Amino acid sequence: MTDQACPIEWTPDLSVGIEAIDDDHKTFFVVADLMQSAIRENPQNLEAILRSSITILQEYVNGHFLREERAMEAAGYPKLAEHHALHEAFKATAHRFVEDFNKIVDHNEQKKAAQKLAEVVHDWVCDHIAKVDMAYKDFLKAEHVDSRPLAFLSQEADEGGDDDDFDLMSMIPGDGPQ
Amino acid sequence: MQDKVEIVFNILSAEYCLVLDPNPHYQRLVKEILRFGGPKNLEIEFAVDADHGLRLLREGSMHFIVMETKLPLEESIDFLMKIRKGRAKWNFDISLPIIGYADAFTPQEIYRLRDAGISELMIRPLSAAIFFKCLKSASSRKFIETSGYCGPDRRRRLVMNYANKRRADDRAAELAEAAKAEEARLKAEADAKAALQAAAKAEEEKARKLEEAQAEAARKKAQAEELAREKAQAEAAAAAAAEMARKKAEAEAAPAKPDPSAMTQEELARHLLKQKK
Ligand SMILES: [Fe+2]
Repeated sequence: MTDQACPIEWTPDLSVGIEAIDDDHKTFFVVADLMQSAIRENPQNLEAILRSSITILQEYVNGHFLREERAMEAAGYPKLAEHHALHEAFKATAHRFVEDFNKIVDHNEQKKAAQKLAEVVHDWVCDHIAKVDMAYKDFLKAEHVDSRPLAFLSQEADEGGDDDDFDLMSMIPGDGPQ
Repeated sequence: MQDKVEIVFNILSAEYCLVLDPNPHYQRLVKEILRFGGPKNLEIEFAVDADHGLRLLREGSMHFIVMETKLPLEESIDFLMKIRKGRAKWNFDISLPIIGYADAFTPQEIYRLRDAGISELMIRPLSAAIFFKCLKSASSRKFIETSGYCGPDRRRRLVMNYANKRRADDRAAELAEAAKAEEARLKAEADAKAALQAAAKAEEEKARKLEEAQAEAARKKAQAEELAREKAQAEAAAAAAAEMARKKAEAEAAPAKPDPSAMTQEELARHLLKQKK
């Protein structure tokens, strides 16, 4: 997909008519743009910024797919299996990119890999909304959709994401008074 | 999951939040986490340093704060203490949740931030899911105000990115290792100091003994010299006495000079004859 067909920012013609899902889609544009602008500005702690961006992007992708698929299921959407397969394929692609990124040590190579990931996410989301998500536009209704914030769906989508919080304080001996 | 629903509601009721981080990229990242992941109509204010943060807090109450804990660290700790201990000073809620983050923490940094009143700490990379877990945990904490400490109940858990649990386990080992290393370093430092002190003391003792030995040697030398001098004097006196005795003996042994006036005619004649010869 070219830049002409896919705008940098989310535009109303990409709306699927459900606010929570549109908000998720906007998020992907924003995070992809955030990564690209960080790469352009090249601050001292770019790597740390990219790692945080990529972690959040992955969480939001997983949370968003969970939201869409639960809604399709609730609505009895007939193309759920196909749609789910496309989501899984993208998750696998993104996962490979992240794995590769984590192996890179060279600063410039990291920038290139992160740039590529941001472009892939941006272009895929744009293409996927226009060609695949639009197919459920008239099928899904707001009542089918879990409209809680994306972070909560991300938590549920994460396999180990129950309440087994990791305790930073247990790393240091002794606990505080009170 | 009744507990979860109730807590989600609590977090989602937040309307105002302060983000304290001078880095514009993290400001934006945190903004996106909160804007898309959190309360629908949350208003976010950004501060670039502690003074700016306090000014914004005075201007309008916030429901929670998200902050970089290495503003630098001392500035972050000062900011936390000013809020937590400012019951009489501020018009805003000093018990509000404060979530801190940094790339890494030493055990000492965690202690200090905890004792300054931080609610939760996160290690970067930031995670949206963990972010909200921290908020949930922080908003369910009792607030303690004593003369020594003001802040959330410290008998609690600080949360970090469970998505990076393995990394966290490594980090835990690293931190424990670091604490051990620090302890060993301090002990080595103390040992080295003690060894230095002992060496200095030994050196001092050695110098003192050397000085003493030198003084003793000098004293003995002077004594020997004195003895030699006395001996020489005695010898000289003895020699003089011997000479005098010898002279006296000689004098005694020598025949008396004849006195011509007391001589008889015969003796005088012999004497004159002798002189003539
Ligand atoms: Fe989709």
